[in-house]
Amino acid sequence: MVMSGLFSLVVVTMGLTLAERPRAALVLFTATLILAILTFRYHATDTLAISL
Amino acid sequence: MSVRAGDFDMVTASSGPDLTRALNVVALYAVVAVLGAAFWVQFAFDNLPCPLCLLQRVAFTMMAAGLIYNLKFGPRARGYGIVLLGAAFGGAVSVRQILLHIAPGDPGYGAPVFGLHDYTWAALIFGVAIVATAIVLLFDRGLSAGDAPRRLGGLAWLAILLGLLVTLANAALALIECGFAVCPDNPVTYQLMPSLPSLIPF
Repeated sequence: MVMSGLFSLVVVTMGLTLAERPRAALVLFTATLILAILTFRYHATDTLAISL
Repeated sequence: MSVRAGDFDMVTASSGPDLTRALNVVALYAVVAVLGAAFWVQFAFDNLPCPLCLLQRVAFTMMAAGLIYNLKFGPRARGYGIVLLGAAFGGAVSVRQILLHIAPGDPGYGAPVFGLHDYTWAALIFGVAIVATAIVLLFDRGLSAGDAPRRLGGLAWLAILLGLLVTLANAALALIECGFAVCPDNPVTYQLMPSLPSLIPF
């Protein structure tokens, strides 16, 4: 669900860009990146219990 | 006639906005091709993407979003920034996955393609993307010349459409694979549609 959500956020970011809403696209991209980093941290530490 | 400092820069003068736009279109097609190849590996080798693999795909779509930004608004520092952040994030994830399997005797995750695993190819491509973007920034005249957006051609629109479609397809496949829970570390079946591989003609 989270992964699908990340892809969906990128799609919306692309849509905002095409709709000529650059600021909104940039804000959403930043939010997507933060969520992706948190997801990475969750999976990277969960996989083999190795700390980053 | 006003004279700007950039007018005397022989290096930046060698690369105009048209070339930069063409490079952005080519790069967008390259990202689409990489994501298409990932689909092919997924279904031809029955290689379900793990969470880290999916995050690398997310990074590629982020790069596509930056390239679309550049195509829509003209080459901009923001567009290149998005591309660089996406590539840096993807590089971190792929290197992390390489390190997970770096011990001698570890078979790695999934089937190797042309001698390397997906995540190793991804690390190489993210590295190339970062270097290529840096080179384009070095030679890009559009950023300093206030390049205005122009009407996009058919090839550019096709690249944007394909970028959107491949990202949407990834969203759908990630939902089918992971369901409504957290993606398993070693997925063995599609949670919402176990018969999906038999429906794909590879």
